[in-house]
Amino acid sequence: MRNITLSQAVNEALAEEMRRDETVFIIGEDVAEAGTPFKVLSGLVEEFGTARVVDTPIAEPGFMGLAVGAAMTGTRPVVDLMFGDFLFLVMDQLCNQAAKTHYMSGGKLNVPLVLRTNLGATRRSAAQHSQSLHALVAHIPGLKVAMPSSAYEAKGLMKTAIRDDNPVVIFEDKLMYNDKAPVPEEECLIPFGEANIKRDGRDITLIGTSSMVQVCEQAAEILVREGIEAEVIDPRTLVPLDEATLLASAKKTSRVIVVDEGHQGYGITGEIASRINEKAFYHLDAPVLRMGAMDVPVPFSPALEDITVPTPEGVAVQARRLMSGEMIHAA
Amino acid sequence: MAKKSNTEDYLRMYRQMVRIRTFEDNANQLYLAAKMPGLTHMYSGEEAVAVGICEALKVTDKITSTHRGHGHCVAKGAEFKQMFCELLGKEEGYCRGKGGSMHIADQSNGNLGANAIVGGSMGIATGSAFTAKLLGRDDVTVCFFGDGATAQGLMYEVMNMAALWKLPVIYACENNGYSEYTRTEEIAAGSITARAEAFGIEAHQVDGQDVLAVNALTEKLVERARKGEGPFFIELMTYRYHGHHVGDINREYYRSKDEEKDWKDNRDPIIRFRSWLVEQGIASEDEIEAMNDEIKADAKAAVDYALDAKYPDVSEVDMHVYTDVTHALARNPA
Amino acid sequence: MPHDNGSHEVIMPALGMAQDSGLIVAWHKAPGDAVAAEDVLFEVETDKSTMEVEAGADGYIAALLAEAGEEAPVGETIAVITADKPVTTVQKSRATGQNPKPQAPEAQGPEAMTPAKAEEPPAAAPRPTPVAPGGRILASPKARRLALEQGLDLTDLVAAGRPQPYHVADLSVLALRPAAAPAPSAPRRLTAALPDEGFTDFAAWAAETAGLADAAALLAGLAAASLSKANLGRDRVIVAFESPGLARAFDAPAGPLSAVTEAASDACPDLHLRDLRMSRVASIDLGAEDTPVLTLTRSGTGLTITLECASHHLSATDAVALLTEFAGRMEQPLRHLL
Repeated sequence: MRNITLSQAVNEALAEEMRRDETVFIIGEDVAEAGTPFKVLSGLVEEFGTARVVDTPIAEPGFMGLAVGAAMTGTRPVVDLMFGDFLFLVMDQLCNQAAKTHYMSGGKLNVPLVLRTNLGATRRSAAQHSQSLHALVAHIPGLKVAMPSSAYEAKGLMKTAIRDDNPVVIFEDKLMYNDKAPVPEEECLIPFGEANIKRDGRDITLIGTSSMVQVCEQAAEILVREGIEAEVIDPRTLVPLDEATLLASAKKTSRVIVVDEGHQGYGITGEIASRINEKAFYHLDAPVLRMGAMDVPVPFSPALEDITVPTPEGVAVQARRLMSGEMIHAA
Repeated sequence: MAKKSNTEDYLRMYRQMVRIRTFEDNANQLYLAAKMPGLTHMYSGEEAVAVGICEALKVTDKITSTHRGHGHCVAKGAEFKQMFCELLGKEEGYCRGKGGSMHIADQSNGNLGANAIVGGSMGIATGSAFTAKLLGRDDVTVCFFGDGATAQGLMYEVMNMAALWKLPVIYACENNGYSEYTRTEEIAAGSITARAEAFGIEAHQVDGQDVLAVNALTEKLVERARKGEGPFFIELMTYRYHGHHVGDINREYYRSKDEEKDWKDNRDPIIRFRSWLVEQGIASEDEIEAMNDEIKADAKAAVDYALDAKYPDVSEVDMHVYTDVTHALARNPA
Repeated sequence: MPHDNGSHEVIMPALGMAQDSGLIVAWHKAPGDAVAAEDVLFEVETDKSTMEVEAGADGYIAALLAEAGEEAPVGETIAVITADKPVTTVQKSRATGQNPKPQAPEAQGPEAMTPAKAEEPPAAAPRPTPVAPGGRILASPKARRLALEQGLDLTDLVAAGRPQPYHVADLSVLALRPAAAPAPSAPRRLTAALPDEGFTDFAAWAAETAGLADAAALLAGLAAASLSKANLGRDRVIVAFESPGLARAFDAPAGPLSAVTEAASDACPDLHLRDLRMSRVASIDLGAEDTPVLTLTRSGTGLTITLECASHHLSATDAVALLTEFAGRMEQPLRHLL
């Protein structure tokens, strides 16, 4: 198996699906010759032409709405939203139109589109280009949400997303585009709703999304030297969520920390922690902890930005507190 | 479609307009009799717009509609029974009762749906045209919207792209003089057609109460759009007889009764066309009366049917959230 | 202060100039625990801070004479350490009891310290053990569930001065401790003598006509029904069944004998049934076990049924009722079906 970057993995997934199905097209800003500022789409316009790799004006609501209509009438758009922060601009078309069309039409109209965007701070891009907003769309019935944590997931989840007849929002961590991972050359799709247990452990469960998976793995490495064996799980998709795997692990270890780069308040960590609380309560020997990004706008200064996101050391500290049986009150 | 010289076509146009008016009268009665859940928005007075345009379209051409969408729905080929069922939230409605008046869609006839967000379907219409072009079909999409929607940013974003990419879409602005409870002059600066022209889109203005004029113009533009000469913009001057929605009954504060009377008595599209049909010897008054009665009877039968029809079973509440999950809430049993 | 007899009294130390008494925050050892002189035995809260106090002697904790959360005057004996492991231990609350004499052989000699008397001026009303408002004990959900399942009492942890909140690891302390029960209860032993028994025929009939071929299950079902009748309020009884070379467990819900099934392997039995009809054993006097035990032994053509249990398992009335019911069923099983 070869190691390729997350960027290459996404590129491959799109190219393969566009070859396989001529109704798939890409639309967004600077997607054609520029291949997006992150260069993920380089080479695609050369192969598929400008009819299927469509550069748009800077009009997010416009091209999102256009994609919804295109999807309703027989094509499969992949909308490129340059920064996850621009999600706010497309919310009406995504959440009022795309998410609800199948339901409001009594099942008669489908919206098979993919919204491809990113998340992740610590790039010194300041508050309006650093947000992780997946909680907003996970909250809307009718949307599916995928969170690839490496090149392997990026390819497998993107292919599944394109073939899914529902609107799917897929978030890549913009800090990971150059990170390599082993990705098979042959066709491999990752189904939605299947979590991946990345590391077995018996003492504490660490659930991480996107690049927080790596944070949890590094925390596990720190903890194992202290005799604490952490189990690390990557849910891979938030909607649908593989609850069963998360609950089984919680029941096994009796201690859980959920780690996510969205804001801690009213977010993903709260939802997952809540489900574990409801359904594994009598197996918990410690409160389920949440570790999200600080509830502040992302600061520009490097001295401030880096402390707003969960780190392996931070996760290890919380894990030790749970292991010691410390009585943890809300801050 | 060939130029209208066919009696059948004229009569069908008349029938469709009367069907719309009759449907709306019945829907209004259902609301006043407290038999209809929620609110709805009457199209009465604007029939010539929907009919004139839709009679120029094929079944495979698409339309997107607005919250004032019953007229478009009927004009594009919908049946009374399923429409009334939808308005009453019954299972046999076009959307199995899950959309209601504001989201009524008739996919088999190319109606991509009414939209409760003002201007919300402009993107969808433009996307539909994009698909046609990408897949090499000659379908045209008509986007219905009101003068109020010209205040929405989305309109400019999609017109810009439609013009850049020469998409086969016709933007049809139903200017009925009012944006909810405010006169159009107070919410739309400058000229509406000039907005389209700013993007290099050919724009026309037409008397929306003259079904023949609307139809003739539309036929020309549709033909050109099929050849790739689109997009186009039409501003249709029309009037809605009822309030913004069925509950907007005391509306003299924003619209005078005299003005309403003037439009109803002197500019009604159905009365005008009826006179023309009789004048041209296409139909007699008696034949027309007979048609009207037949449509009234149809509507009554459909209303009675819909009132008795069953609601969707409660198990439907979490169906159709996703295409591949029958019951979304059964996903994670405790 | 050490005694010649090898017992050492631990007193509340004076930890500050103006200090009259100390609040025991927590005990770090429980009665019966081994202790070394330099081990921390307890924590005391003074007006300044909380201090750890060492045991001061090697040996075993024979008695703790005040509970965590209680105040004791400086100089008062609050614990006793003995050189040898004590047979029984004492855990007292200062508020309730007097100071007992050390459990080891009588104190002798003038060098023995006079234990402070309980008549001394009472200290400030003992502060409650650190529980949440409402007297609730703080423990994790898993700890509570396991305690419930294993019949452990979390208040024992409070009494032992263990700091809350309790986790699963704390339960192992409870499980290891000798049962700190009140005075051991007198075991009960009752016998019933049946000149004839109807069970053998009944079992054959049941196998033939009703397809219920498992005689052990039938016995278990009859025993369960008898217990339900005698000790009302049970809609399901787990019966552990034993006969030479065989150990099984049955789950008998209220209802017909056909509803008796094999019990889950981790189910706690409510009743033991020992079938010694095939063996040569004629009578038994085995003492109380952890549940009531019904034993069947042959006597001639009939049967002797012995019921043994602890007094806290069943009241005298209930024990009599249980044996009566079961004997009746074994004599005339068909009566049970009515």
